[in-house]
Amino acid sequence: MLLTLTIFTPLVFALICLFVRDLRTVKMLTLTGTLLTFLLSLGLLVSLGDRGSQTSLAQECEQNGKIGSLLSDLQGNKETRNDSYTQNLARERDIMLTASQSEYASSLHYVEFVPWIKSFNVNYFLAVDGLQIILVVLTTFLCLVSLGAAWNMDKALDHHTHKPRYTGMRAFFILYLILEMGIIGVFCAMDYFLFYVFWEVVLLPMYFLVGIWGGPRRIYAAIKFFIYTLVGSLLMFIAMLYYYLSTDKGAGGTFNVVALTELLPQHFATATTAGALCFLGLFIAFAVKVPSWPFHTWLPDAHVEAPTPISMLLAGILLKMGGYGLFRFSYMFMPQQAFDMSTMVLLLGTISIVYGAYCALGQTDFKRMVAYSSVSHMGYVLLGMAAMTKLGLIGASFQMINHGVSSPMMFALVGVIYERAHHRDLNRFGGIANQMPKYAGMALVGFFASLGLPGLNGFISEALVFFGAFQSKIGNAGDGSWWLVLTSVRFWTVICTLGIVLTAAYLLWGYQRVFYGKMKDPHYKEFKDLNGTEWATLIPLAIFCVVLGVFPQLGIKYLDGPMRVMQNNMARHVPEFARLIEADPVPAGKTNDAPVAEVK
Amino acid sequence: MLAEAASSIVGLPAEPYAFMARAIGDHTLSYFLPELVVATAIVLVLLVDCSDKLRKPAMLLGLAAMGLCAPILLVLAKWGTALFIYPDWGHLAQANEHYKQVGYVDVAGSSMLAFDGFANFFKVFILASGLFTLGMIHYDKSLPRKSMGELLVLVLGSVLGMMLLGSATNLLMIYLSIELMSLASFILVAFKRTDRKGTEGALKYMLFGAVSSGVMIYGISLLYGMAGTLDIAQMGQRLSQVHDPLAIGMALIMVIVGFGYKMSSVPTHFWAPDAYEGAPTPITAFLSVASKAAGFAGFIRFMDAMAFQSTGNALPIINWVSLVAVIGALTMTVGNLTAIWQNNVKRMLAYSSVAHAGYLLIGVAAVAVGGEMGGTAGKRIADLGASATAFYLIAYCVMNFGAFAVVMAVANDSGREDMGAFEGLAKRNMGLAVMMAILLLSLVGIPPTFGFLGKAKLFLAGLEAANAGYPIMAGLLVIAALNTAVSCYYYFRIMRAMFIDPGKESETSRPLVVSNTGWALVGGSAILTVAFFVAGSLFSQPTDDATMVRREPKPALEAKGDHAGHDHGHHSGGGGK
Repeated sequence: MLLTLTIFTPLVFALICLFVRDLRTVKMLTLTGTLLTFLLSLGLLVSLGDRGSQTSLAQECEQNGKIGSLLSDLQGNKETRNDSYTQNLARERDIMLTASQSEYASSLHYVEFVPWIKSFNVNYFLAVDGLQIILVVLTTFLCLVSLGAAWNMDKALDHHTHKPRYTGMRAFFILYLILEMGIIGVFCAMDYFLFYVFWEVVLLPMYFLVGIWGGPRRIYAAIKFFIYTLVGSLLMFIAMLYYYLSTDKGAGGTFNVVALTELLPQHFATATTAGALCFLGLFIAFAVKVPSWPFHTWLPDAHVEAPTPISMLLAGILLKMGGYGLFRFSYMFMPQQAFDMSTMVLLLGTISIVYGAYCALGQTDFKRMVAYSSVSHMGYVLLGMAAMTKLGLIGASFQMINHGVSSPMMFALVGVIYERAHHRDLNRFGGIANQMPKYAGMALVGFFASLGLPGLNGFISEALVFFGAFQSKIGNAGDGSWWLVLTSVRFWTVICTLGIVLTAAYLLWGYQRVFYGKMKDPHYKEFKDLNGTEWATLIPLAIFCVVLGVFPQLGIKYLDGPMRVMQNNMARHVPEFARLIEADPVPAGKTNDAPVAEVK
Repeated sequence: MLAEAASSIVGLPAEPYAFMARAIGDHTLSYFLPELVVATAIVLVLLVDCSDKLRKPAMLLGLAAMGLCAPILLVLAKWGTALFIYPDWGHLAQANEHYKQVGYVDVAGSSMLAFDGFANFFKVFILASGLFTLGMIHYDKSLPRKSMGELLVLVLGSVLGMMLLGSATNLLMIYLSIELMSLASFILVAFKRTDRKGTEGALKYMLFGAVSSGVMIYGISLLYGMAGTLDIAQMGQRLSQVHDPLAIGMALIMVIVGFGYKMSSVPTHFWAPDAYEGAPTPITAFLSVASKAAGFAGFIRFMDAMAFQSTGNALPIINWVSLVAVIGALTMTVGNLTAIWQNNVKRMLAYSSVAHAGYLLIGVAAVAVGGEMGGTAGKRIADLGASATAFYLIAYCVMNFGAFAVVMAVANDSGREDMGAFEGLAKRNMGLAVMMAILLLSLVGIPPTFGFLGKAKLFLAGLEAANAGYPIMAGLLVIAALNTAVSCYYYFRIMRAMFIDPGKESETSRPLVVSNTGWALVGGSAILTVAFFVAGSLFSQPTDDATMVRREPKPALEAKGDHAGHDHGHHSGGGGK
């Protein structure tokens, strides 16, 4: 019930807003809705940290919990006792209780299980583990914070016509709330079909939010974003149906993610064309969202054209949907294929890191530079994932959180200056630091968090990814030709460090061009420093940048368990991988023992 | 393979036929009652139209609506039962005995119509879309009220033809029902006599219709010459013994042309955009849903009979799977690519309806795969394909009628149907724009809408077929997925016009008023697309019932040596393969 409440609170407020004409009231309602959702999800996060106070999926199945009681209800009913839905449900329950899945099932909490489309064996199945809950909290947090950037949008005037630049803001807030609902749903769904539904639900509000309230090229950007994602999702859709068919043992297939995690690796244990195609389809769907080179070209357009709060959400959360998908679905469902194709993931990650940073270096548009920095930063997620070491995985998942804080902050910073200057050309700025010292100070935090300065959050995750990737034994050929080094993670990790240099270059150069030097335009003299809503947006983000940089364990303690499940899942199904991690410098057991709830 | 099939027929597996075993009435005529009621309604409407006192549009509409509602109830009353009418092979007595023993409910000597789950489904479907059409006729301002009687008679006549096509099992009956529905719809398209576009569309429609039905009847005559029967099941069996693949293939293609014309599949789709654009909008919606559905029903039944009979045959007559898959891929691609360039929303929806015919052909291709495989596994895939087609048709019916109703609401206000009329619609009537957005999402196939579930079911059937060793089906699915992305582009042009484009100030300041009938049509269909998604299992049982009772050949009787000797020899040859 708690997860349903978290998902649908924004929707309820959106529906209320439909019947309210007054914009101010709509704003207050949106604020209340997002605040409530945030508090709710925060409550879930904190009580999940309390070990043992919540029943897990495994316990639910075992005792008279959700699936168990549902099953006995259904079996008590004479008509349904032998139908394929009940048979399938029994199978799902048994799988969730098997020894191999018990680790996974006991990491999932707040279970909700209601039958939905029985002819497809689709259930309304929600549950969260550490990774999911932390992404949910990130979502609700950013939705709350970004509201600050949206708060005064209706008052913004077009500097040519002096008419309000944004009209119909009531619809903006309604769509904003629907978007929030969709994203939370994506992170909570444990039924693949339900996941897909939420995944697509996110698309439409985003299309409108970019298309209606965006910049001059908004329509192009919106439809490009939509079609890119839709092509990806359709590939995922076909793969999803293929999974359903391959798990069909007479009583129909299953969409239950835990059951699929058990059944699919066995089904795809040997390399087949169908398996490779499925993995690629799923990978492309998520790589578009991440976005990884070469599927990234929608991102600069969409981010630049979107209004500031929407850019923040796009960079902060929507990209994480891709990373989350890779963690939860691609790697869990098809470990063999993931292992076989880790070189591809590695290369794409490397190219994204270096190429993204290189492109960012060449931009003159402030916002475009930040957009390309997202491509570069999300490349680390792919790198850590391809390395498949404990540190690498934790680093990759933690990078998602950190980028989810620092990148929205950068977009918020761009929004602040754009509101005043009405342009974003880096070469036309200069000397802003004198005029707006507080802004320059906040910008410093954002830029350095993004750059990865020790003490701020970006550093921790990037360092973890690098350590993890360098430890990785994947592709390390002991003997053989010299060129085999090209397949090793270690080699490409070294190349990736180039990204760090480029990142420092574009960020420092960018900061210099905006804040230092001579004021290039006398108008800049009129600029006022940060106002109330801008403070409200930037301060929480800055605080998180610092807190996560100093106490990374706050985030990592939730990521540790899910990443262990993922690594063990792969080791169990891929013998070569199991051999590799036996010699891991950080043995799996060492961090394994750290309880989820331990706070350092 | 044949031996296996034969043994399974002798034993007649209880599972697929069990639902027929329920008792039915004494007389087989009771099965024909729905059609009779529609025919009676036609006569009544004609009579009432003659009386000056009674001929009021509301009266006529009410009468016609009753003439459609009552048959729905009658069909539903017979739901889950089936009548097996055994073809007259000269062994009627034995056949009676045999099939009564194994649980068929009734056996009669004629072989014109089948009354099974498949036919029942399509009857209800066509009657329901007829009802929807009546609602739209009521809402359309531009239709001449004076000639309401004629209009309704033609609609009902067309409905009758479609119902017959859904259950026809004899090529002559198939041809006649196609003619009945076509002749009525030619006139319907040109119903606004003074409208040049309508007349042009009707003329093209008729010319195409005349040519394709001419080709079809030629093909039928060739088939009759070779098989000596017009009954499709019997024909399939007899054709497998004629060693002339070229002649059979050509004749079959000719018959397929006739069906393709009704399904508006490539390359016989050229009439569709013109006729759809020119026709009054209610008629456009009616033709694009009901007429197409009937075409699919006829084609599936025909192909199923032919493809299943060719199982185990030394000479594959025609490669149904490749044929249907290629036609499907072409149809969806051509429909979508042409729709991109349209500026008239009605014409765009017309091309999109061609594209949807292509998606539906995925299900038909699965039926073909099942037919080619034969046996229990084949039957399962064929049933999946048939039920997926039926399921998608329901979704398509709801969303397409809704979209056309929105076009009509806009046209009622401004008299225009082009993209310009939709610009800034959100400012003029937010509710209407949101409803249209939901319907468009459903047409693309994006959740949370019924169109998405329909597509999921089609893709599932297609994948199942691909999994059974037909890579061409996998190719078809990939093309369908790409097409969905293409279709998203033009559907979103409407979305963009409604919500993003500012529109002319003079237009957008004037709110668009929608009458209660309009809200009932638009709102009803939009809400249903979401509601049917949430209640996802609602139609799974009815569409699972919409599978055919196959009339298999009678090896049981042949084995007793009752049949001609050369058949026997050929079959054992096939069985040894």
